[in-house]
Amino acid sequence: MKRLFRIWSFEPDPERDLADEIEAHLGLKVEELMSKGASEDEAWQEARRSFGDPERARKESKPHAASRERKHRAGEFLDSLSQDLRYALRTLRRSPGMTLLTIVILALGIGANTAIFSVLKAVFLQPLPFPEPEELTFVWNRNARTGGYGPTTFPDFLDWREQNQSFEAMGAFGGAYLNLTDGEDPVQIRGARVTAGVFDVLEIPPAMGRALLPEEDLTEEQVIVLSHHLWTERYGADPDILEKTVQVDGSAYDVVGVMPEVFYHPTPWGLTDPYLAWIPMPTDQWIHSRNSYSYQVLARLRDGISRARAQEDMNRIGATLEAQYPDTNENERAWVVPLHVLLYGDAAAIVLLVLLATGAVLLVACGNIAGFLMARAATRRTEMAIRASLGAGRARIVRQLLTESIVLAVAGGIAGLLLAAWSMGGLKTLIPPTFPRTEDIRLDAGILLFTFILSLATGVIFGLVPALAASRTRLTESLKEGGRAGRSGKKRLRTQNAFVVAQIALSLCLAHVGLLLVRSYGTLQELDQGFDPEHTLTMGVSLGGDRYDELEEREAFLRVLFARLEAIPGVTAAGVTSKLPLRGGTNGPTVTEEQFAQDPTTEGVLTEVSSVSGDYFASMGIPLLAGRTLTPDDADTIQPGVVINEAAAQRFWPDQDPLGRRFGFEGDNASWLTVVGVVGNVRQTRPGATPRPEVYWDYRVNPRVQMYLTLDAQGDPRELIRPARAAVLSVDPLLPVSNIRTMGEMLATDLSGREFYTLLVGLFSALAVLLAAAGIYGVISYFVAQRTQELGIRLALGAARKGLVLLVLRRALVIVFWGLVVGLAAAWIASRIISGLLFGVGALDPTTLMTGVGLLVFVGLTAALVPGLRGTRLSPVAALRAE
Amino acid sequence: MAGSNLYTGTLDLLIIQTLSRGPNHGYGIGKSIRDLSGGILAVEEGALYPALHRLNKKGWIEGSWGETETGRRARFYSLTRKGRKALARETARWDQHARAVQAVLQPTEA
Repeated sequence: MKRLFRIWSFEPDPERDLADEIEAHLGLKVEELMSKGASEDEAWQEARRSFGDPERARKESKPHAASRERKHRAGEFLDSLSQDLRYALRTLRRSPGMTLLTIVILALGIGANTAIFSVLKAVFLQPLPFPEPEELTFVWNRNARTGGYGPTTFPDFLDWREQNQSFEAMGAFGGAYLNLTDGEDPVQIRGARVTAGVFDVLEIPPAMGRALLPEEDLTEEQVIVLSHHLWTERYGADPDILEKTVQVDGSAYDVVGVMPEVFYHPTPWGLTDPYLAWIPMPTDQWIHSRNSYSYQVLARLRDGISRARAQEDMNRIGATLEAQYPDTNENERAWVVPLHVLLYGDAAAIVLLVLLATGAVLLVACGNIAGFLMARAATRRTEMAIRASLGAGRARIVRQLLTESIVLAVAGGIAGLLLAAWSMGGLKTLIPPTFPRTEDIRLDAGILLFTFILSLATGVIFGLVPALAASRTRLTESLKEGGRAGRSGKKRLRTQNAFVVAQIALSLCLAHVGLLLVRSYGTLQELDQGFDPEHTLTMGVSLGGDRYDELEEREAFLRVLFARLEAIPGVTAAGVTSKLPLRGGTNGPTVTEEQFAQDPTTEGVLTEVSSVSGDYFASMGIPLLAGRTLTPDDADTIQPGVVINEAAAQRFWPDQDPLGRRFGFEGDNASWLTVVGVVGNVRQTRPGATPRPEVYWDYRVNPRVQMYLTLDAQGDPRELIRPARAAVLSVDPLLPVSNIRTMGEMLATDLSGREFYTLLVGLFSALAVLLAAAGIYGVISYFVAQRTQELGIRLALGAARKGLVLLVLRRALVIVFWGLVVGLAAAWIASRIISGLLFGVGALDPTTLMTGVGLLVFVGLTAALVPGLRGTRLSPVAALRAE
Repeated sequence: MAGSNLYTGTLDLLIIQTLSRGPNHGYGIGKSIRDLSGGILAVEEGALYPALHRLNKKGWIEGSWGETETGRRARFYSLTRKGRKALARETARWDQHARAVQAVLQPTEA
């Protein structure tokens, strides 16, 4: 009896409970009164009277009852949840094959997303390691008319700092190669000349001693601040370092401070080559020029000032400067950029692209699983019908089915995590060396949370529609038929078809993008960059400091060095240059003599300029097209002879003979440059960039401190590294070399980002197509199974087997067709988004589109063929007998 | 009886004391109190149920539906362990209180 009562009190109703209790009380009282001789009516009257006001009892009991009810409800919910879980596990265990397959597919999808997201987290989502990093900005100089941007001039920086109202601190700096000539091992390190403001902007106090002081700006003070890395690596973490000096370019610098390990100096170009030491910004010939754009600026916003407001402020200052200095500052403005985006934005964009691909793969996988579940729902109709008849509401059934899906998804998520952990090593090797903070890539608590949430979401995404569909059974129909035919079966098939159409659409979109990227990469790789990447070795030398003050000293050094380098067996040519291809960016506007004569105010053409010496062109593999290469006589500083590239020849004197013609840099009317030769184009900024006009003059015309030696090797250029280094040290034992690499390595590094995303997106596209094929296979199998009876009848009536197979294929083709229609629209949108990444191929390139379409049609028909053949191979009798 | 506060506390004590002798339903509890006190403590039956719910919420008693000897369905309450501890505590306090009142009412010796 008691158990029955329990089932009936399914839904707690405290009001009813209390009413029952009172009723029982009265009943007992009546019993007693009656046993004492009262009549039933009298007893009831008396009982009610002596009870008093039941209303009061009810009112006073209410709050207690409500909380009791809440607890009861909570207990009940947990109860049913655990019931759902147990049942879900049992059901999944019953079909181990499908469960396992689903978990594997989910592991692939969720694992891929987890791995890529962990890259995104380390590279982009982590904030910069400075106090209040959102206040940090980088301030470029930008020309409002041309849009070109870069470092600024020092006087402009001073005015910005003086006149702004938005920044708490501002500092300027420029990179420098510092030769540390102390100890037995001279080394060239990357350092910076900074104003003290840089340290104020970054707000990380030194670990030892002090940073630089504002009084030291623009002085020749020989003080230096070391980075933690330099202090430990080169000076053995000497605790007394503050009392010592280091030799920089032959002079003694007092060490005044050491920065902590966590400190680093952000700059857009130094992610792989961080600054290791800081010296005060010296005064030099360019420090007062408003034409020398060589100073980078870091700034920290004031509390509460937004970047937009700061930008307005700087625009105002730019306008003021323009009015004050019309010759130099016309159209020049400051451009305030958040530091975080500047440093990590490019890498983040690449990772996001890959993440979109993995997201698409996961969606396609969800489509597959949803299809499985829909097919399986057909076989569980009887079970659902019984549950419904026992009183389970629709919501309850849906919840039960969703629990199954979520359990599957979480299991897949755990497997995916393991998969991601296992593949992390391999993934890290693929990551381009240019990506920042890659050492921070790991699976930490944040990633675990991401995976968990993703698993839950995935479970709902693929589970919801099948759950809703399965719970919609009409009782009598399912109990009667038990089969797959019938109206709800048809509806199920239509939903499954819709899933497959979506899968095909996504796969086409992804395949199209993947093919475009692969083609772009292939084109770029094979492209002629203008130089020989196979046989060229480069190394940096910095001819600075007291020992190379005089031009003769530098010339003497180079002369002896070339002789020694060319003597090395395997070296076919040796040269030196101020800047390397693919690393370009030293330029100025030029006008031809004829243009100037016509109109002295003509605007110049942006022309790259390199100072070269020795056999530079041969060593770099740049062909000579006309005239001759430079000779020492061309080093006349008044009227130098120069070599130009083909682009310049075409631009300045189209279809004419450029030899003997003259041109010059805008504003430098004194010296005209005479063309003595024309060489092939070289891509100056990055692989695949359009070559800009370029002029090469002899080193002596504009001697620079930082130079690059270039060697052409007969065989493997890496074999020349040791002898070349030895040769340099033999001329000057205190001169270190830096950045030793072959042009081939440099090219590969530049292409590494593209390689990364092309490879991964391509891989995931292939995966998506495979999953879509599985989807088609599934839905066609279901279709065939549904129509087994019909097919059997047709066969019995004499239809050719081939005809039936064609029927199935035609069905598949219809699905694929709709998938392609939607897919083409998606591909159109996606390819527009990535059009910036493409090279040599248009976003809607027809060949690529057709390849994608053809691939999916082929895959679709093949996937449909198997169940099609199998389905029609049944004997008609068996087919007719099947449900 | 004296002021309502006192009454409430006293009623609670009486209820849990009754239940210490074994589980009972609301009607039975009221009857027991009346009988044992010789009819002096006549619990207002309507006030019994709020008291019972209050004690239930405090966790001193717990209730479940059951059957009386005559086959009627009624809610039976029983004392919890917490209730047992409370009973000892409240009984001691009542004793102390009663003696204090007694001491005040007693004429002091000169």
